[in-house]
Amino acid sequence: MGKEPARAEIPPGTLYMLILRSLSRLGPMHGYGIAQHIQQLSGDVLQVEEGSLYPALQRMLIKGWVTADWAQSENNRRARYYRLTPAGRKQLGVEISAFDRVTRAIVSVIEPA
Amino acid sequence: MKLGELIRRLTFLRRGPRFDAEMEEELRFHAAMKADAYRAEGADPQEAQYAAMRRLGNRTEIAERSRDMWGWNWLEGFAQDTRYAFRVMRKSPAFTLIAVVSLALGIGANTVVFSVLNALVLKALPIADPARVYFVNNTGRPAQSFPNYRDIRDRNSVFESLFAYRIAMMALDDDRGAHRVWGYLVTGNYFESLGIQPALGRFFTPAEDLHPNASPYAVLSYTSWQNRFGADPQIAGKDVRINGHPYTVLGVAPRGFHGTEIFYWSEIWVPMMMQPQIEGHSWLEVRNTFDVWVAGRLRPGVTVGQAEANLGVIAAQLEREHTENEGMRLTLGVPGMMGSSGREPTRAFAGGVMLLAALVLLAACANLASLLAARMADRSRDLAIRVSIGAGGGRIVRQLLTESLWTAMLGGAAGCALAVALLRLLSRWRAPLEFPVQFDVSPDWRVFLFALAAALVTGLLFGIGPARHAWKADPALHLKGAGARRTGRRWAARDVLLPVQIALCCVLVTSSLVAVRGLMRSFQTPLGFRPDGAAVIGYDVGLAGYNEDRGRVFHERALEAVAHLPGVESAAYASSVPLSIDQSTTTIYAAGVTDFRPATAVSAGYYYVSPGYFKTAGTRLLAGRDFTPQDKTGSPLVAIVNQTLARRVLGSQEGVGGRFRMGPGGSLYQVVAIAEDGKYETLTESPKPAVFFPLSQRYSSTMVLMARTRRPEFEVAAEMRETVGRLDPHLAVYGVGSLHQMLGLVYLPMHAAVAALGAFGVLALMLCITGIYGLAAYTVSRRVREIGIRVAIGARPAQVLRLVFARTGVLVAAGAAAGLALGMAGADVLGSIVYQASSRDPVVIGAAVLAIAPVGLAAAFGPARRAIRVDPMHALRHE
Repeated sequence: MGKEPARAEIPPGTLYMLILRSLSRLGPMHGYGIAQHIQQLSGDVLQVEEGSLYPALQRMLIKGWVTADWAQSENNRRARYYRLTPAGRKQLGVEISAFDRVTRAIVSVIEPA
Repeated sequence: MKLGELIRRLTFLRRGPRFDAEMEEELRFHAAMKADAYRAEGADPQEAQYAAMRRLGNRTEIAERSRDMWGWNWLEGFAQDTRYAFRVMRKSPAFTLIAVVSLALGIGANTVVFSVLNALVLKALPIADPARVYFVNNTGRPAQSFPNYRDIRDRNSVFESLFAYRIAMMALDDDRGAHRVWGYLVTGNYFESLGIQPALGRFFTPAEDLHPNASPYAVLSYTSWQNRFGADPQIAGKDVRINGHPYTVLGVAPRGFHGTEIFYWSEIWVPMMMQPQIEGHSWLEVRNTFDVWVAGRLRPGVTVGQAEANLGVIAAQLEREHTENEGMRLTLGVPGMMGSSGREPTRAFAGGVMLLAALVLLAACANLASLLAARMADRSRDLAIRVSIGAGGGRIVRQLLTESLWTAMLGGAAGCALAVALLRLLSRWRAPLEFPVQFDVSPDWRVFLFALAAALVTGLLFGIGPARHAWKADPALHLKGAGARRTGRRWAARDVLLPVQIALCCVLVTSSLVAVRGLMRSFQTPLGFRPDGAAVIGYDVGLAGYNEDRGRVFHERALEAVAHLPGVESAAYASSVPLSIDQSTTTIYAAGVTDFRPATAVSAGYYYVSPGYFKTAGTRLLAGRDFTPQDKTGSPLVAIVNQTLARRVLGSQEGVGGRFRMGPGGSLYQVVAIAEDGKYETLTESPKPAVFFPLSQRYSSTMVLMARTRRPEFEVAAEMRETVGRLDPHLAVYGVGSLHQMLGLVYLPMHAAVAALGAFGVLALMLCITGIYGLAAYTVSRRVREIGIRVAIGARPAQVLRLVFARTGVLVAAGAAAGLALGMAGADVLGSIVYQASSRDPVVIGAAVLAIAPVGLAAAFGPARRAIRVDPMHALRHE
């Protein structure tokens, strides 16, 4: 799989935001779909490790940001679909604005004067 | 953690078992999707599947990490350890039984003792906001004079309310006749200060306690209302007769409230101003007798320091105003046990017993630790296997600790059950006294918490050694079977544990023997009178409404009748007898003293007695003559003093014929005889002054009628009661029996100490047995093979025994010697509780050795028999 383009680490703490954002865009989706979505939209730069994705999804279930239900997938397999809850939507807002603030702060630091 | 989150985490527990399957399915789906994707890119289907699997990595790990998110893995590990622990316990039932039983005994004993400590020292009285209620000690003593109480009440600025109370005896008439009951005289603000609510009716108020003999009201205790009045719901407002006078019952105190002293369970409360009518004379205006106990509720926010400062100012004023109050100091104490004077010794005593109980538990711990360590060597192979297949050291230690904790929990539960049963008995038990001494030691949450903590600490204590050992073990060595062999000769931790345990047991055995011996000796202590062969009854004609003249006549007739009973050698009266609960003191001044300050006074116990008292009580008169009927009102005032009072007041020259003054500026009395010293308040007291006055020159309505006889005391006492009953059927007669019974209260703490120490001694011996037995049995089983070889090549039984037990014997002997020495050092402490307890008593040391040696032999007997019966053929085939 060396043919894949140069990948970047997902910055710590942003995985939740990425998952939440994907779910808000896609509607209910399984773990594989979420990972694919993030990879595609990032132009293959961000690749979600399964070892991080599934524990993160469990954590979000505990937090009540998503719920999970089993359903038939597009190609007729049983899959666990995650669905954004109102609490999750609110959390997405919180995470995005926090991320925004940090990004802008970082940019203003590294920007040439 | 938010509530929703908590609920979600908890529901996880329910669907936990399904979790792994779901996770597995989810990951399989993920892989399948990935494989699809690779296939779409043109990969071979088989190759695509492999690639997807590789890409996914360790699925088990992903599933485990996802599961960990829920935060329950510790619980699962614990459940696993628990299951394993119980399997291990079931596999060796003998060990488990020994462990659980010895822990049950140890923890049970501790729980009982703690429960008593809790009831006596920790539990507050059942009143509102007890933290603000304080007892006012008067110069280190509990009692205060009533005028002083009034002054303190009116002058202080720190108490919301200050009340006075006094234990009083009354004759209560119900439909079955007059009964003597114990109650309280209390000031009108008593109930409102305590902030309690009546179970029925109402309490009396300060306005109903203003003038002497003007408020004939009574409040009944819940028990009294139930037992004496059949829980009559209409009782409030009804009249009862107390000491022959009508009183109106206002209400019933709440259940569980027995008054403001922990030991004393009152049946009835009467306003303080009724004192003259209840007691027949009045001290309400007398400043130099100390008749009431004082306690009060501090104002909110007032600290003990501030309150004592304020009381200090008042004490100084009172001292200036009245010479009787010289040296007065007012301090605060926790109420419930006659202020600080009763509480401090009780606390010290309970603390001491608690310490001994802790020693028992510690011995049990050492016992189990050594057994466990021995067993550990057998299990080391099993543990080594677990380590080598990947269990971390921490995991093994957790496993071992879980095992010991569960053992401790089982023991703790059994011990708790044992303790609860025992405490229930103890709570129901009433001391065989004429006085309502009872204590409620029923366990509460504190007790159960204590038992739990004790079990946890025990489990950790005896489990940590073996666990540490396992942690350090080298698995490779054990797997080769070498580890086990090497430990056989090495100086192991259990070689220390056994002597430590034996030493602890010896300490306990020695102290219990010292205590028992002390008790035996105290029965031989010269009391200054001979209780054997003395039958007594008590009554109070004042309670039946007699005035002095009628009372005197009655006393005369009763004495006359009793003296003529068959088998009565002599009979006499006394206002009270030494060592009974009813003791009073008076102040005596030497005849020459003109400066009547407390410093120049001698405080002496006093008794009013009839002629013949000394002969009947068995008190020797060292010089002079007994009282005679000629010592009567109008003739010169006479008295008989004991040796100590003669020495302190009469000086060395004068003896019989000397004179002293009773009370400041009081009358002069001439001494007609000197009586031998005796014990008056406690068995441990140093010689105290005492004085006897002739009844004919003084009067007391309360009387103890005593008869000396060779017949059984009970029989004679019963006849005495009948005789007196015939003279007046309405008189409440009490304390019928032998004089020994009347002295019960004096012996009570000692009996308690001996019972507790005796129980600990027995427990310690039992622990000794299990400890020695365990180690001996273990040693034999470890060396069966070696013994087999030795027997096969011709070793004799004696040689086998020496081989096996030489070490154990040395360890036991060392422990015993250390324990004996410690026990003797520690026993000196007991001297303060148990009269005449001395550790330097050859009988005690001999008995301790005699108790421990056979125990050691008996414990080693079984294993020894097994050792010499080893069949070489069988033993060698064994492994």
